[in-house]
Amino acid sequence: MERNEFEKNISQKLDGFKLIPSEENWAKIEKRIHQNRRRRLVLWLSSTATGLFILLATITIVNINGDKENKKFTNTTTDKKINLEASTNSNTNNKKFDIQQEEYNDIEENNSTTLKDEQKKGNANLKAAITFNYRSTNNEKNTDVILSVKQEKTNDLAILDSTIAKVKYNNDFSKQDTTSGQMDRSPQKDSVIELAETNSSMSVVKHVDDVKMDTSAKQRKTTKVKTPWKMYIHTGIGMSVIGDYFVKPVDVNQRVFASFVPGVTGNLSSSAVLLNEAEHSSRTSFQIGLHWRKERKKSIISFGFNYLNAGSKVIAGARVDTAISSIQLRDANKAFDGYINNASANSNQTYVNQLHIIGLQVGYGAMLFKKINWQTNAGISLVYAEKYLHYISSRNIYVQDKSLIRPINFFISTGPEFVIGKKQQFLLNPSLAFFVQPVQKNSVNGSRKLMNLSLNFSMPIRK
Amino acid sequence: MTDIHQLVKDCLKNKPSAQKALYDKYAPEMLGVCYRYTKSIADAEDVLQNGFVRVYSFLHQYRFEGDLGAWIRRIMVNAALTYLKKKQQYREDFFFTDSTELVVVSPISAEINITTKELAQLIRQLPTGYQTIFNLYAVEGYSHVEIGKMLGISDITSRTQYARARKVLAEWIKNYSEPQKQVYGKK
Repeated sequence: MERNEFEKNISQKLDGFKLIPSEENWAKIEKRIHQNRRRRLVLWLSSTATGLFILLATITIVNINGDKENKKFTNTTTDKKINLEASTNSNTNNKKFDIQQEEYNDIEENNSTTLKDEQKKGNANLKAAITFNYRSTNNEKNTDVILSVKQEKTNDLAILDSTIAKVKYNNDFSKQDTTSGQMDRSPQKDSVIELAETNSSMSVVKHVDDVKMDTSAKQRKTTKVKTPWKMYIHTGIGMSVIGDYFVKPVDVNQRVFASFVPGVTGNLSSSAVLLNEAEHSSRTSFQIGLHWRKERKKSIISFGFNYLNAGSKVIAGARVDTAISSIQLRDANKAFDGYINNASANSNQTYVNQLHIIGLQVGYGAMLFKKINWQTNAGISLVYAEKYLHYISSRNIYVQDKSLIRPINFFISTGPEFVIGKKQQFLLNPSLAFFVQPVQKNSVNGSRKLMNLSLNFSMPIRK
Repeated sequence: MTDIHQLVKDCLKNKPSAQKALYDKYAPEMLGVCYRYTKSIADAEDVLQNGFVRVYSFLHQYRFEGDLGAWIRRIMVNAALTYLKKKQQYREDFFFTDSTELVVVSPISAEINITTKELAQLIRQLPTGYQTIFNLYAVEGYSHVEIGKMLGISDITSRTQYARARKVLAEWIKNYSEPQKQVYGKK
């Protein structure tokens, strides 16, 4: 259907049609924008938390499997792979034995037949290549010895007709492992290997003459000794970032550039205040607490409590007059009342509220490297604010509103943990904590996030 | 144009002042668009809110090609259609005949001697289905194929409904004094 004059006239007539929206329309839109932003943040954090959880779960599963594997080798003396390739004078056919993943118990009981015995019986001119891994475990300390032995060339060969073979070496086991205090059970180079058969169905054991071996051994210690809970005191300083519901500037059109100002109140946590375009306030934070931790094979579990002081008794703002800026610092308690009276359109003054947060937390640490862990804590906290301030844009003032803060809150924190020292282990832990919706009032504009980035130091107070 | 660019960039930085400025600039025109697709001013404002929230969410997709107003307008139209679909308004009083019989449009006077607001009000008095298709075709300039895809109907249905809406509206414009008494073709 072709457009004709009628459509053109309609279109032209309606082209400039305008209606004035009601005043509260923008407020609703603004609120939804903030909600969307918060949703995106929550989504991002959820994704990060999920990723972290998957990572931790993977590490945990790997650890559990590692534990199972260690248990599997308890009381196990020989495993893995034995390849035998042999040819004899009487039988020119090559025989190949490939024995994998066999487990044998208590090698000491199976020494009835040795290679030396077989050597005496003759049957020389055998060639063989024997490759096997040897793993022995000591029950008390769970020390694994992984040994690779390669027999490059022999005149004789132990031919094992059965599919189960056992290997024993006859060196004196006298070498002490200086690190673990355990006997070193790895055979030394050029030591003579004795082959022992554990399976009664074995029919023939040929002997080996002049065994030349290339041995290499490495030790892996996995201490399974039960570790006790250790108590640590931790303290940290950092910076907390809080949504603009606390720090809404008088005039959002005024920009306040990032400014660091020295603390003057004597409060430990008031060393710096950062204002970022007057929308968010970062303030120093201080925390202290106790926690107990227990080390496992590849992980650390912990619990404890923590006091976090987010914010300081500082009121800070920047006055922007043409190109000249000045910083004002006042004691918050004194400045609060005066602030309302003195608020002017030319100044961006921000009242920085002070939050006291006491939390109970449980934690999980994954041992990533020898001295580096990744620690994640989660818990519940009680939040108390000294000033419950709520900015009302229409009246351009702050008012006190005790329903602003959600008193019970949840948090999660995560970060790397660096272990310092050998005997006394101190911990250095930069961490980012996120508090889930500390503000409950729907009418408050702005995001409701509270995050705390801190550098924590933990010291053991009991061995 | 530079001002618009700066405004968009500031909005992308989530600056409240810029967001408000963008709203102030385009809200009246967009409310006029929303008004034509809805039955009440409250509904129109709801659509406007939904639309502007979408605008701020998808502003990063605006490539500074073409008029920003036209880009926002498309979003508003889509927001209106989503709103109507949610309410399922044009399903209730919109009969979707797949009849291939096209309505023969009688000669209609091209003259429109009423005010813009009166015209908008007359369009709103059409059944929602007619109203939607009329707006999309006559005002926004979409083709019947596009309208069919947007509403999930065949283009023939769109043509049929449009022809009827056009006829009814032309008669209403002609007899503006008593538009409510006009009978429109609903089977």
